[in-house]
Amino acid sequence: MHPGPLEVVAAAVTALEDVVAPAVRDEHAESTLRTAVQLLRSTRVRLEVEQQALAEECAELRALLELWQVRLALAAVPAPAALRYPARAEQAHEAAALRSALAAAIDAVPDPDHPFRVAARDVVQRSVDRQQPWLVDAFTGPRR
Amino acid sequence: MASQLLDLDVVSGWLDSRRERLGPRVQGARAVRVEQLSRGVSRETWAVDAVVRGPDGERELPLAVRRDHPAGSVIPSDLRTEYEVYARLADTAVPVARALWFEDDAAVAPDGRPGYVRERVRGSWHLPFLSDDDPARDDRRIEASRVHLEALAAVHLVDWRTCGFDRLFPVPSSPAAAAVELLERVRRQAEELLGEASPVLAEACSALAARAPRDAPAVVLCKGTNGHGEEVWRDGRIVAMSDWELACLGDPAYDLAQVQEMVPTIVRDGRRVWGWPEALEHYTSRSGLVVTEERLRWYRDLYAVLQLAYCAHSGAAVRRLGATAPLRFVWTAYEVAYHAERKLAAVAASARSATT
Repeated sequence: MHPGPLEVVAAAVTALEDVVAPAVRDEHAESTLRTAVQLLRSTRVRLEVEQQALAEECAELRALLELWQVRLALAAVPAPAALRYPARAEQAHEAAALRSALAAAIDAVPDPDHPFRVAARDVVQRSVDRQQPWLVDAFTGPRR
Repeated sequence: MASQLLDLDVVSGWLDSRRERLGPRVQGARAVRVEQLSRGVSRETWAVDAVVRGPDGERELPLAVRRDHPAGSVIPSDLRTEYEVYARLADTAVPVARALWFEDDAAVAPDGRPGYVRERVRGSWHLPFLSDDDPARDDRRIEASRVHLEALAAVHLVDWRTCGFDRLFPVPSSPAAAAVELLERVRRQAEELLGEASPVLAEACSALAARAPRDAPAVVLCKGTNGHGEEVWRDGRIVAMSDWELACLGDPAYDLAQVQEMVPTIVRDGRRVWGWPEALEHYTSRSGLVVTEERLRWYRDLYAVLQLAYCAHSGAAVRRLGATAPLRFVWTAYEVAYHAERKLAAVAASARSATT
């Protein structure tokens, strides 16, 4: 269906900034409106790229945990989402389970120079970097 | 629904019912102006201009009311503790607003919500000259920096046992253990509040634990957030230190690592005339406590864990409240938490560079 979610959110941002914001007189309301607009901007980018980012993160976490599971006697790797095309919530749930497994594995391997820990830090860094488009780059325009 | 704090009659009735807390000879009180302040977002802060009546007539009494948001507080420390910090500092060398009372009687408190009342100290948090790199401002910037460091020294020299801070905050088992015990406590708090385990937190805490300093000179009362924007200034002096939400007992480096904008680096003709080495030397000359740059760096890194913990506290409120969660809480749990995670990732990465 057109307009899609990205266009809908973008239009809402424009309406809030061009029509609503100039009419707001209260300082606290004005600040809250600016924050709301920024969060909508972020959500627009997130709608666009997050599922791909989650899929990549899950694949990386799974590969790392499966590679080391036997050698380090780690707990079983959480099962993947059941559907071939999982909804965002299912993907997020899978990523959270894998992150928990990784956190437990990090605590179980105290040597920070162990190859598993070195690889874990790389995975963690890429996971943080993947969120930058909607948690840093998306925030343009007036802040709170 | 509008807060009852905006209703002058309600506030007047409340103040009048507590008039004995407003001064020894106060016979009546009323509010003439109330305003919610936009600074200090972790809790609500209201400015209340009161007029009190005594045997000699009426006088103005500026007050501040602090209370949690309806959704709670952004920072995971409780309101009562914040009040107790002010109350315990009343007779010390630390400049603070006088705490008057903690209101926990829902029958008289505006909106039926707990809050505390303190006097409002005249002055300003804003020091516009701080960011002015004009050499003509150097002396003023350095003097303000010194004054702030002296105020921190005064906090650190408080006899915290006599003042009862050991009944308010966890006491480190020794100066040497202060860093690692604080790390463990804040990590546990962050994990409980996050609701899911975090690999970036696990890696960063591992890196921090490996290089936790053990050379703290003493366990002192620490303020937490401090510096520009957190203290009230008048005529070049600090007249009130505010924002004690992250106060604790620990290494003085905890506070110096959280100084905001008050230690400018000033270089003239290729020579540094002020910066962290000079600031630490001045601080030590006033406190007798040595803070090394290495401990300063460690506590700056630790701040990412503290930040994640308070973001997770906001996130827990968002989970609990759903669509009724205040936007400020959502923003804290969202963007601010991400910045904390980025810092944690950098701390974790430093573990590798330190060993290779």
